[in-house]
Amino acid sequence: MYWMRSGWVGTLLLMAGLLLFVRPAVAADEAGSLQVRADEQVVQCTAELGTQSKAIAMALKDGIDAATTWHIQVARVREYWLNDGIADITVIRRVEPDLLSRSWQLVDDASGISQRVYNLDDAVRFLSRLELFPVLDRSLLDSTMPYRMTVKVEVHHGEIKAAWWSSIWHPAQAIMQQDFKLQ
Amino acid sequence: MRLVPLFMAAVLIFVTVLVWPSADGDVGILGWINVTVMLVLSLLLLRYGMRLLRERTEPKPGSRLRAKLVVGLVGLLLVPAMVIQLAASQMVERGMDVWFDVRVDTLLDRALNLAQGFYERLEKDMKRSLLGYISDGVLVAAVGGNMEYLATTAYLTEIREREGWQKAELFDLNERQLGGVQVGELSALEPEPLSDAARLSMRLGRVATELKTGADGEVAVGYAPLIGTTSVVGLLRVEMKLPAGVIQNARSVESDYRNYRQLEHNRQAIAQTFTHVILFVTLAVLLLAGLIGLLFARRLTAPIGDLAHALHRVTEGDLDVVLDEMSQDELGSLVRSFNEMTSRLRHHAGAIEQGQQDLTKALDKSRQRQFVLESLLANLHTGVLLVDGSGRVRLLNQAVRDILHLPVNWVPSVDLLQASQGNLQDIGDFYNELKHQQEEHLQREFDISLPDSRLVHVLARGARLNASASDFSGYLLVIDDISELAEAQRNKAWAEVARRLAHEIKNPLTPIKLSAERLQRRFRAQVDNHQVFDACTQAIIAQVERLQRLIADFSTLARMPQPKIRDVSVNVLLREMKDLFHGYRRIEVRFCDEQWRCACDPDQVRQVLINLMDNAVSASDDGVSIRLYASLSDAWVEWHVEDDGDGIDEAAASRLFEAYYSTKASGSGLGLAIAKRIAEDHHGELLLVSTAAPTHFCLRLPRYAAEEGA
Repeated sequence: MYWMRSGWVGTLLLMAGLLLFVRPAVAADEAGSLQVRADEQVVQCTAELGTQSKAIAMALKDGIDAATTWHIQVARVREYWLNDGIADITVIRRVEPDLLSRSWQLVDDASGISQRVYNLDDAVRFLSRLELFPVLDRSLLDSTMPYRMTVKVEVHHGEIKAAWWSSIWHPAQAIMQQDFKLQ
Repeated sequence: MRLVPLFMAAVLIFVTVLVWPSADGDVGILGWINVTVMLVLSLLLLRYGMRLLRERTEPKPGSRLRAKLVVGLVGLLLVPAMVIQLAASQMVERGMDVWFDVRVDTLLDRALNLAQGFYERLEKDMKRSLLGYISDGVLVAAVGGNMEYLATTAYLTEIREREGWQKAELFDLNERQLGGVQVGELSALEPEPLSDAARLSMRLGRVATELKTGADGEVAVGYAPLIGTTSVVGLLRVEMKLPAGVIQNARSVESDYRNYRQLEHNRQAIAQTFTHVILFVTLAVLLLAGLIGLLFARRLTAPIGDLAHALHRVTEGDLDVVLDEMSQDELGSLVRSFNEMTSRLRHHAGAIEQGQQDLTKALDKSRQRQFVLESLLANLHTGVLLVDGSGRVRLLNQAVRDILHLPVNWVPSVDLLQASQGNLQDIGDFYNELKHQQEEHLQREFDISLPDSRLVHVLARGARLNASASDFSGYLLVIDDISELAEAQRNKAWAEVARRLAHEIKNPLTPIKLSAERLQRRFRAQVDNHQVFDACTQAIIAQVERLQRLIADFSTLARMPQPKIRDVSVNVLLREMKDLFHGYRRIEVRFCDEQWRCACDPDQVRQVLINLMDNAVSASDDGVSIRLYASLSDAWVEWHVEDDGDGIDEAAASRLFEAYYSTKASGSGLGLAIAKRIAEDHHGELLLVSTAAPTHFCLRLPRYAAEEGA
């Protein structure tokens, strides 16, 4: 039975390696941009999805609900150990199309604000772009240390169905990273 | 057959690559589960295949058969499962084509366009109606500050009823409601605030509409800016409830269209999900089949494995193995047959072992007897020759080799008659005589000349071995060296002769000699021929004296006293010889170390040395050098006498130490015999080392006295 045990151990190790290999492969289709900007009080970010915008536009045009979940993480970069997480923010934006009136209802789940627009580009921009989004207070960061902001974007078409593993594994369609240092 | 697992692993890996979830695919976790299961299966197969390829030793009994059964069963299921998988995939693809047919697509587009057209028409109608009130004097005057509430309300009621609106409200620039009418009762005291669209309409001075969904259905809301002489002075907001049946149908069309588009949008994902579901089921079935196959194969191969293991143990010599008879089928019959076989083997092996033990004991006894016999023969001083019926030597001991100085070709299996050539001819003759005589035994004495010119007197006894006693028939020859015994007998005879001569002859010799001397003294004057008389009397006296010396030597030989052993310096004896023979310049005496000692009787040793020196002097001419020296070893002291004379011929050399043998005319022939007797009495020996160039005698005596009784 030893070979079975060692075989299983080997197989599990291989699977772990595969998963590590697969995750970046899923996230490799990013084509997005991220810019970090810090003013005197707040650290903000401007992020925009790339290729996913077309898919969002097509879905919205066909009347399919679309949503984007933005996971914004800020971590202090450490050279010989895992990065030290400082901030972790989740922003969910939804667009509900109304085909009869040719309008799109924009909903920001974080703030609860909704708005109806009659232009598809506005709806697409609402989902695919975060503009000067305040992430954290500047006082939480040390000006001498390097930091890394990571934005993972999940794009949902149709209603968001939270699976039991969604809290463990985020099938991100785009990952954007930006190292920054306070001036 | 060994490549089957590797082939299956390759197929599985190929399928895994084919169904690997794409990054943008929405197959969910099921795809990854399938991929993981297939990878694990392919890895297990790969590992098993590699182990099969590398395997050099015999595998565990039954394991190969079990693996074959499992692989066969899984393989048997794999082919139809893959066919079903492909067929299902094709069916899903075809179904997708049917579901998402272009006609359905067009139909839904038209239905949606129809619904959208209803909404557009509604909005257009509302906008057209509202355009008529933009510059309405009553309304403009009302929002301009000249409002008469009752008249305004009545006017609003009039236009609401005329246009078919459910609600009409009037707002000023400050978004304050100035008046309003509606069908039914008020639901709230506070007016509904203006929406963004209303503000936009008022700001831009354009008619606008929007849809609102309320508790009692959808409502179309229209906004008409009221324009005064120069600018917008107010806003007319009207609401018209949409017909519920039409709206429901329109929303249904929209919902269906949305669902259809969503399905179409997820068409690829649906197909993949379907494929992965079927694949998951297939894999589950395969795993289940493999597990059941494994259990079945284990149940089937366990008795075979036990049987193979038991056979292996039997092959290694363990016959005590017994298998449990668990079933009554063919395997059970096989197990019963195996148990019977091992039982019989055990029985036979026991009998063989017992026989082997008996044989081993007999062999041990035989070896012991052989060992005793060989030891006996090896330690015997009597030579033994065993000759078989065909005349070939079967056995001969070391003693016969030593006695007869047998050549190297005398080995067991040599033909005795052929080997008995030359000086060993007498042995062959003796065997021949024994073989051809009627009696069972034969005894003969004869001399055999050895390669070193010595004669050895042997006593040969032969016996015919009875063939009835054993399988062997032949002749046993026993040969004894009786040279010393014969010599001792001869010496004893000579001693007896000497004793008798001394007794019978010595007594009359003295009166004869005295009488001859008396005759010479008294009658010499009376005879006329003195010369003849003197010669005769002197001859009588000389011969009598010679006889007396001869008798004295015989007497000495007969009554040789026992040596009186004491510690003597070797050099002292040499010095005495030097003094004794100092008159001979040709004699060279080499002295030795003063520390050299010897346990001997000095008088007797001196007598031997004098005899040897005297022989050398008398046997060699003047001018021939003679050497006397000594040598010492751990156990022996040796005195060597050498001369460069003419030497001793071979015939004389062989009899030199015999009593009464002399090459000198006046010698008694007893000198060397007495010398040899003295040497033997000292437990030493007197040797003729070489007969010529130089003639070399050696007296070898032990350095230390022998232990008493040793």
